[in-house]
Amino acid sequence: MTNRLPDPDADLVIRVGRGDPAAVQALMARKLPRMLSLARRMLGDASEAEDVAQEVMVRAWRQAPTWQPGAARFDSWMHRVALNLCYDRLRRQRERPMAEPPDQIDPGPAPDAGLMGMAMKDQVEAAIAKLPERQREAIVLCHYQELGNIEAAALMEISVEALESLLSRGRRALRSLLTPLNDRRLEGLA
Amino acid sequence: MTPERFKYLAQTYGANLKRWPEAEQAEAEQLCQHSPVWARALLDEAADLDEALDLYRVEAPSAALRERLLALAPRPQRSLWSRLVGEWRGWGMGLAAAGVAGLMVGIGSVSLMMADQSTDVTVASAFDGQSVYSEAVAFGAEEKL
Repeated sequence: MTNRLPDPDADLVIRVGRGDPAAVQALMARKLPRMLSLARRMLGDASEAEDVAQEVMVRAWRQAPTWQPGAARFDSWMHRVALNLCYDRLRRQRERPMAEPPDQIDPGPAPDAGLMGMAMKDQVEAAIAKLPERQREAIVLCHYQELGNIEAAALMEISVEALESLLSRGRRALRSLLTPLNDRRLEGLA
Repeated sequence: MTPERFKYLAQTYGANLKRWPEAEQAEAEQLCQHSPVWARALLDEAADLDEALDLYRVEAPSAALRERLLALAPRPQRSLWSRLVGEWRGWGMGLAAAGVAGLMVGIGSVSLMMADQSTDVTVASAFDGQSVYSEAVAFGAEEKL
């Protein structure tokens, strides 16, 4: 369905493929922050996010000379590449053995208590990092990347109903993690 | 649109109706106009979470990252004509260099040949001088006799 939509990046990508320096600058200004944000919120790590964003852009440079407008939107293609790279890294993080497995219960504060001591921006970041990967992906694509539900569902290879379920559960979880914080913030403002 | 569906969509997509499914945006707006109080309450609740999410901003790409990417970006492609001209120019420069080198070798060879010839003439002259002298001495001796 999304394939029939006009691609707002098509002309720019063709010019990038010809090596037009102005188009290269314009595409980078348009897409690099977008890919960096996606990777940062998916991975929760600035350095890894930068690696992913760089790899996506390098692949875009390589793809541009042979890009065929009409097959898929370039932005969707970039999102697909970025998500694959993010999932590769998340899988590696899961498979990485722990250097020193904990042999006793962590005596530190409970997760929610930890959030309490953080700045609001950091609390939101931590709350998003706590979400299951698919819920996080749904919220990142729909809220932060501002993709439509059909495009987001296509990228995640699920139905729109399944996407809505992930979004709904994700937002409910975030609300429960952040509500005490919001209350405290409001109390502070009063 | 039922109130339940409105509530579900607010809790799913947030307070901004533009993020809602396109097919349901117009109905949602109508419902807001007809039932503003409870619809507004639901949207306000969703907006609280939206605002909290918006606090999570990502820093801009570093200058180093942008420079690395510019260095790897596609270079301007030259047209077939300019490429041909460029190649011919290359060939021309090569031929010209070869010509100059040939000319230098030629000039050098001619110089060497001329130097050889002048040596031969000098030697020949020397021999000639010697023979003239010998002939003069011989002629003088004959006269004395």
